Amino acid sequence: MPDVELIDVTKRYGKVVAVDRISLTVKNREYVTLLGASGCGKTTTLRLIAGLAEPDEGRILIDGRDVTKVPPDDRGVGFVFQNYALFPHMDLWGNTTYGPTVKGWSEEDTEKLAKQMLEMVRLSGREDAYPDELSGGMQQRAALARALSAGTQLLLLDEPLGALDAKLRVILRYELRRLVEDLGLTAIHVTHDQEEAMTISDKIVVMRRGRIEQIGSPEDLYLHPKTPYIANFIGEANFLDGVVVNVGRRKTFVEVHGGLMVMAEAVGFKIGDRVALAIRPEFMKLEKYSGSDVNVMAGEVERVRFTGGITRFEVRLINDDLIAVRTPIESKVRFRLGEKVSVKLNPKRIHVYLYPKEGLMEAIKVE
Amino acid sequence: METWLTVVKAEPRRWLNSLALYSSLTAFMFLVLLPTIFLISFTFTRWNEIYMEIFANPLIGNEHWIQIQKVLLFSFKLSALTVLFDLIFGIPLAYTLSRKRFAGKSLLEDVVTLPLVIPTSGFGFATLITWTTVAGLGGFLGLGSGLIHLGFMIPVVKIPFLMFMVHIGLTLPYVVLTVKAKMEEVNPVYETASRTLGAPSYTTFRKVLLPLALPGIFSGSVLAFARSLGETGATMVVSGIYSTASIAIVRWVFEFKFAAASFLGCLLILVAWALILPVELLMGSRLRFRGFKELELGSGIRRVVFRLERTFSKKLSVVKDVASLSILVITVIIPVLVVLNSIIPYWSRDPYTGKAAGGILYQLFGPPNYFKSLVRATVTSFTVASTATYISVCLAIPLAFIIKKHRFGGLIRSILKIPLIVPTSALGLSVLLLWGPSGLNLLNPGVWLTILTHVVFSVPVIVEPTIAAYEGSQIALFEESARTLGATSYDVAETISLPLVKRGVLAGAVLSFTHSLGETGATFIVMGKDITVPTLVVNMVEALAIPAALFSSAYLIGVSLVLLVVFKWISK
Repeated sequence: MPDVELIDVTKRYGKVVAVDRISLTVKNREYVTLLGASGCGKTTTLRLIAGLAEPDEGRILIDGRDVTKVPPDDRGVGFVFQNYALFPHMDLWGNTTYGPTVKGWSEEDTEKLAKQMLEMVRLSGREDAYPDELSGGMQQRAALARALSAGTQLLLLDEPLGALDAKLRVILRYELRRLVEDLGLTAIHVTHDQEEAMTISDKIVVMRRGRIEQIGSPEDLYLHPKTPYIANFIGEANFLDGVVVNVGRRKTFVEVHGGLMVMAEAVGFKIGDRVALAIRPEFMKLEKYSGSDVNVMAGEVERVRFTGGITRFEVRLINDDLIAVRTPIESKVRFRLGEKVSVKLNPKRIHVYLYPKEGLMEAIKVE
Repeated sequence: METWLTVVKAEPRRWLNSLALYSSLTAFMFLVLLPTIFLISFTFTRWNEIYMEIFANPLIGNEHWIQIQKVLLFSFKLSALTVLFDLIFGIPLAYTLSRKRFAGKSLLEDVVTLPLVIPTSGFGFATLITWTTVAGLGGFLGLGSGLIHLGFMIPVVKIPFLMFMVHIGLTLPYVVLTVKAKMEEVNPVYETASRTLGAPSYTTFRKVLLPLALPGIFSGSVLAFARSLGETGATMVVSGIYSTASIAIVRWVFEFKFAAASFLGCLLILVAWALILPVELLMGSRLRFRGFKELELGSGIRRVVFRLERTFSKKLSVVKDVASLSILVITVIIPVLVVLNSIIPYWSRDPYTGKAAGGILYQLFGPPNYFKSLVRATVTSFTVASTATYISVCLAIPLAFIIKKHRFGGLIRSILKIPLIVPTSALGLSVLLLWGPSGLNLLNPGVWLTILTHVVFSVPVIVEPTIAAYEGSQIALFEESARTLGATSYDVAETISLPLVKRGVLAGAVLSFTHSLGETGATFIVMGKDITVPTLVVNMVEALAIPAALFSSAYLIGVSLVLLVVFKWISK
């Protein structure tokens, strides 16, 4: 069964290091997403696994077998391309039976498998259609059927939903997940859409500048972002910078510039450290004005945005920082524009990082 | 006149528009379309005369008809085999050029393009001395003579070897460059997809890239076939006693057998169309992919094929590259090198007999005085090439815009393909009969008639790259945004469209210049006393003035190398 293992893999294109010493293990039947902004090396990583590119250093193992030098046609992977790459000169049936045919399987097996796969993706009856006669969603499912009928257990998906309308993308997202589960496949899915990654994956690998920034379950990444970049990239975060003024056994006191005091449940810092705090807008509470205190910051409502189930407030703090707060719509207290408020923080949900050497803006920049 | 003036005053812009449109179309009709089709109408209107001459000649009966059948069959056999070889060697070469990156790639592209710019008679002469004289391969291999005789036939197919070599060399670029361009259009992701589905590289090539590149393969073959059918300059130099249809036309015109020549020319045009137009129409239809179904193989055979391909993909991929490269070396590189290399030993005397009369200096400046003819021919050639190119550019630019903007543009575009597939000697005859003494009697054979002839095939040569540049740079989008910014359609043409298609026009102009400079078949018929350099080379060979021909060929090759550099610089 297909475990995939990357050991210290590096890929360079000229001087550009596309993938920089990556090590990664994907277990059998796991649904793993490689997530990152464009140019982070996620697609290159996927192509390395498929054998479409050869690493300059490191090894790649599929199912315990070293496939580093094995050409793509001998790796037995299924690959779904971003724009599907359905052969324009073949009809759906020709596309779906392509894999088994070129592998020289018997006609009965080929037909049985292709039929089964087309049924699975709900395209039975459209066998005679050419790719340009199918809708975007159908093409997506056809590409999936084609990859699967090559008899693979390892599905590699390169932005498989990227070319679809927003609504359809959401529907097919769940369909894809269910299919992979039903067939007991291992899937590696590349996307730049963090919401897609969050809803679909067992495990997310966030990549940045050719390296892995963090690996974890969606919950993990959301609740315990290891770096300011993750805090900013997964969900939304407010950043405040300050200096550690006191440390307790499980607490760290930070004085944010402008004299605001924050206490976070975090360890590993010394007095005098310059730090960056990340706080998610949904983990703060807006209250009636009561001045400032530890974990209570006074400010003024500067903007209100209604976005459906949640209202998003932007509050100008007394130290002139602007922070976002999200409150559920059923919250009883209403706040008006320009109203003085106090923002209350939850010490468990404040992430403290040593202030990045390259500067905070650079450290969280999504390029 | 009252109404006419009112229209001009009321809507000057619209009036100018139609004036530009109709004058361009009129020029197109008279300079391009009419000369192309005149030969056919000529043959039909004078059918009685021609019938008498060819089928019921009181002296020789239907001897002309027998000759016509013979040269036609021979020409088609030669062209068909040439195209077959071009495909076998050209497709792998096109694949390598479009998909692989390697050192020396751009040099290889130059070598492939070279036969397009070399005047063909010079090229023919290079091939001739390479194979049949001691100055060529024979001497290089230590034999006291040429490697083969001029009349050497390829067994079984019965085609003179030299003619075959020349035709492959001259037509290969059409296949390679067209197929390469088409393959570059095919997104490599389809091949990648095929690889991930388990197909090795040969299978991927056969099942994915080849069918997708099929339109390019067809149009490349059409161009190569037409080129081979119409080739005159090089073929005359190496023909010996054999005659192709194109050469026969030239010879018969010289023998004043106009009836036979025009009937043969007419047949050549019609048969070329019959073969080529269906392919063109097929390409134009949207069903091109679907019309192509793979041969259904039994599953047993299929599995053997796949297994073979798997082995080939792994072990023998070098073989195809080596094979294609060697055909280039044999047909193009060696002849060019041999000519350039022979200049020095032949400079003052024949290196084998030691006679000064067999040296280049003697023949150029001695009693034969070929130098004077060469200078005169050079002046004529450059005058013709630059004038014809200039007239063609002036005609091609408005035509390209009409093709893109008017609903009958597609029709004009297809009509413009015709001069490209009409054998040039037939075209020359057509022009001679139309404008010359026996037709409208406007021009006698000479430099102006040559220019008019060259305009016919130069216009399409310039229009196509211009359109390609137009389509390639999203000009329509920029034009629209210029219009929304307040530019009139004339402002748009001047400030947006023309500057953006400039490269295409220039590339086309250089191509047309080289075509015109090297053209032999039509030129022979229409030039009268104003001999051009390529025709001079043919005359030298026929007069057995080999050193003079050697020098002139090297000179032509030198000029074309310079033009190639210019072409590359412009089309970069």
